[in-house]
Amino acid sequence: MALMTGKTSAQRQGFELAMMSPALFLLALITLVPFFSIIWMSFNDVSLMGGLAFEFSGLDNWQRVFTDPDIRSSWLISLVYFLATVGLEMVIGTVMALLVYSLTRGSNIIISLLLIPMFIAPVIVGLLGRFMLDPSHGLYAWLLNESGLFDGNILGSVGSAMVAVILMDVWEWTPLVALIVLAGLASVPEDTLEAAEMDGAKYGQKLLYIILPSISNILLVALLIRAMDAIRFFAIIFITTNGGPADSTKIIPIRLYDIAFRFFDLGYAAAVGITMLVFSIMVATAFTKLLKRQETSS
Amino acid sequence: MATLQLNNIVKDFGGTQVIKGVDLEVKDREFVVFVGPSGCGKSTLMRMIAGLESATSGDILIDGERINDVGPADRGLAMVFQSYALYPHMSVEDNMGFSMRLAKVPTAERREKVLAAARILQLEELLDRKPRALSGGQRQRVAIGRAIVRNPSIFLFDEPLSNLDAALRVQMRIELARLHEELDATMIYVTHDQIEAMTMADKIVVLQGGVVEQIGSPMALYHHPANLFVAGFIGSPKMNFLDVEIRRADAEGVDVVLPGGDCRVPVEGDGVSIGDKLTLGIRPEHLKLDDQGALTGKILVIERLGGTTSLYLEKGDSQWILVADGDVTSRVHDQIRFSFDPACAHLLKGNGDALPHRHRHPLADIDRKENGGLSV
Repeated sequence: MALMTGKTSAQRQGFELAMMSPALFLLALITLVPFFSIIWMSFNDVSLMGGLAFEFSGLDNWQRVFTDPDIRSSWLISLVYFLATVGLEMVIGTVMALLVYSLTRGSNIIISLLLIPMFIAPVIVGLLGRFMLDPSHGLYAWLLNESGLFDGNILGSVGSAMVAVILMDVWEWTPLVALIVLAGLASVPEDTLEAAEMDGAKYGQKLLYIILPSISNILLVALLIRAMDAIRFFAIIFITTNGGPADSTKIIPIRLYDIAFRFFDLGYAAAVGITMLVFSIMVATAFTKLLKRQETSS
Repeated sequence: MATLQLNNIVKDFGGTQVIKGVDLEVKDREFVVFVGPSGCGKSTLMRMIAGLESATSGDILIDGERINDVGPADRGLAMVFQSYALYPHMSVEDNMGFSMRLAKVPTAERREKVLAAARILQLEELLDRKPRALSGGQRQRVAIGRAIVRNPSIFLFDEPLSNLDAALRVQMRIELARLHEELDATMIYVTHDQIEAMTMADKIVVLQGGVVEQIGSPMALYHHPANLFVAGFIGSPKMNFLDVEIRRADAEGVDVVLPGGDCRVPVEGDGVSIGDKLTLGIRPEHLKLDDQGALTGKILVIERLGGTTSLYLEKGDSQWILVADGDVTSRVHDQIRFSFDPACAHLLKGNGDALPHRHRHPLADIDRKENGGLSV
């Protein structure tokens, strides 16, 4: 009996596979073929001069990936960038959500207003930032100058340029975190909070012992979404500093862009691209493991 | 151990009065049940006592002290919620010990108190479990345990049994009554289930539309309902009503006109006069099949419960219910005759108020503890 059903289900699976094959073929065409070409490219010296030419170079590109000091510094800058943006977005987004949630009226309007940055294309955010921080006519540059906090070229100085691009990303993506956390807060049952209140919990204690543990799953999801995005972050920096000054904001995606489309070293760029992909997968796996553990423990 | 007093409590929700001036006195160690249909304000009243809602006006006094402006945690109360409201990510032990953890009670003392409460509720085996690994009844017990460890002066229960299945509800009802004996604490209990009210209460507060309709012992409410609402609300199946006219009225009783002849009901007839329209109320269990009976009706539906049988009767343009014993042989569509003992009947005036019975029912003022059945 079991054998028979096994057979029929296997047969049916064959049928299902047949029905899906056009879609699978298309998927292979647009993802798998490029994916394997990239891997192949990373073992070649690819030149665009006089037509596309592959010249097998073995592990040369890979050796460069792990020894190139520029790549190492870009990874470090990426890491700083990653921790700063995601960290700030999580903290500010959560606080923002808690504040909005505590509103008794007008929260819908506030949420709509808060979400505006999210709907602006990153390139536009970069252009806005460049405009506001321009040393000759930028509003923020003028304010900082007048208040005596900073009087140089913000995007043109090491350090301040990094802070500026981090804040631009935080400005754009904090609302997304706030929105996700807000959805989580709505699912914290009211009477559990009331029970905690009867037990003598002040707001801070309710936050620490009830609210945050209840939304820890959703916080992880928000963190995952932002982390995956931050790894491949590109547009704002490309528009504002393009990695400068002195490579101080040259995060890995910008470095990759330079290698591929300024120096046209496509084989090497492929190797760098694959390391980025592996890193993303590692981060995502770590998060899903954490999420699973959360689910089983709570 | 505490007393509670409510003085003219009013609650206003954005212009609508949901509690319209409630006065109540709860004695030390009393088990008081708020009962009423949904939307009557019973939960709101309890939440005001708990401090989760503020009273628009009026005074709430615990042990004679006004606590309107005292926070919920500092009133010395503990509340058990309908949904249990356990902290989902904490173990049973942490759930029960949460209030003490907040109060910075040392771990050893905390554990001791939790264990003591767990012993009362038979939860010792489950202390390490998370709420989601518990059954409904177990969750309910944890919620009660969380209240017990706080050693509150008054326990508040907000419909604690309504999420349980019928069998478990009966069991928890008995356990709660036992718990009241054991803890000997003042308890206030909100329910819409009159069986819970009748079985557990020392004193029932019947609420409707934000107004107290009657306060009294279960037997007093059953035998001496103060008005039409209480008469209809307390008792299951519902009391039967019939419009009647007065033939004669004096201090000894009131004679009313019935189809099969006049009937003298022993109530004080001072406030009424001949010709007044009254409502006669008679409980289904006080009607008896009687071939010489003054009343007739046609059977619409028969519900056989084994021990008793409920007969739903068509009587004029109203529907009556008669509870007979289990081996009644009548069939649907049969025309039957029945009668009742006038001493068990109630007469209600046009404004809904009942005419007081001349003789108080011997059980009306019985103390619940005198029933004896629930002592441990």
